[in-house]
Amino acid sequence: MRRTWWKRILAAVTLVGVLIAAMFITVPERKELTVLESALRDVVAPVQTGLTFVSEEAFSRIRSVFTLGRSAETDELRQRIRNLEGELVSLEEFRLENERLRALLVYRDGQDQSRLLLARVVGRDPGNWFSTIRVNCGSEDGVRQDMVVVLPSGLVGRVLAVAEQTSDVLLITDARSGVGTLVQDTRLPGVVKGSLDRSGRLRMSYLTREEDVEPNQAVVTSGLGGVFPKGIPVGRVVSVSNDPSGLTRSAEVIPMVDFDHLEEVFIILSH
Amino acid sequence: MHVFVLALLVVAAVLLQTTVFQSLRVAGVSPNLILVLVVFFAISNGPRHGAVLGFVGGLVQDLLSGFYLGMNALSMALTGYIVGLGHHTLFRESPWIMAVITFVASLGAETVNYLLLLSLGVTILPGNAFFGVIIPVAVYNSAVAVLAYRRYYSSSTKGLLRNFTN
Repeated sequence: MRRTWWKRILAAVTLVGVLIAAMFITVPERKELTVLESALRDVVAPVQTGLTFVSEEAFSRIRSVFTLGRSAETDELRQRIRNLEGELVSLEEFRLENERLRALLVYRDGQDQSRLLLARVVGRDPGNWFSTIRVNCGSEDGVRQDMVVVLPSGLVGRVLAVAEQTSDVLLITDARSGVGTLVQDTRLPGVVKGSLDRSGRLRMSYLTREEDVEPNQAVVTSGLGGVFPKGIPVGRVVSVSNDPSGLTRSAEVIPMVDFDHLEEVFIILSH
Repeated sequence: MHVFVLALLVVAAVLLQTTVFQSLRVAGVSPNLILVLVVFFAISNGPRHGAVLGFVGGLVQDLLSGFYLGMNALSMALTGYIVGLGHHTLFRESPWIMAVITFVASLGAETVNYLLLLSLGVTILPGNAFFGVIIPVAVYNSAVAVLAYRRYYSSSTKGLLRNFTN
């Protein structure tokens, strides 16, 4: 009897040890996935694609029954407004950039060099701790870790891990994400982070108290840090509050991208 | 037959959790349906079965997520085992009691996940973790438990999941 108990305890301890080791091996932010992880992702991806497709179809049909097609039109118009707002911010960014560059008599437009790869969202993280999506493009398509993911309306995130046929994207709403940004009008720098408060809003931290930050001001990427190219729309300021230290302020930022309805995204292959 | 039905239930929970309930987020969270199923199963069948289903269900969720493989498997196996200890002592017929058990079990499982994430170097402030994820998920899970338990209970006493342990 005692021997059986010892066997059970030993088996349980071994299993817990293996699981903890697996957790440490499979943390994100590694240079490469293991062969097994890569294969697992590519095997799971078709299932996730099917699930996502079935869910989208079912929701679309249920919505059209209840709203007699009005919802689709409203959704489309809302999406167009988001895209146009993103374009407006981009245009304003180009205008300001042109002014600065004219003053310096130097012209450089980095974004025209970009190569964009269209990727379809095939799955989302099933848990509540993280905000990641899986897309149907991987190393076979030229995707590499830390490549930037965007939509016409603004910044989506960056590539976290790459398998042969799929990639995982860390959304800017994830608590682990941090993006170097600027308030577009004042060029005040800060870091935009995701949060777990689930309001869908972002937090722009480390704003100095020297310059005012007003609601509705646009926030764009600063290009600092080397991952995100400069000038990509991130969001708009909703409110500003003083930090407990009294030295800096934080702003609540509503993202340009509608993260609840991501279906396709662009991966910037080079910039 | 029972294992087949249970496997179908796990697949259905995963399907719903990763698709329909992603669009039915309340307070920013979706329910953890696999955990709800583990709690139901553990209370009906005891600690060993609860731990096994918790391990399998958690591992499925970990595989879909792709990162921190084993985190949910560990927390759900532990939850399944502890809840299963109440197999003979807790009153199992009331969906309201199951809601309370599910609430407490969800708080426990998500707190274990939070502690594991902290040990893996993921910095999340306790306030954000508890008010942003742990408590909302526990509330949502217990609401799902109220709605789903009668159906599960009748299946486990008179239907396809009857006498699983036999």
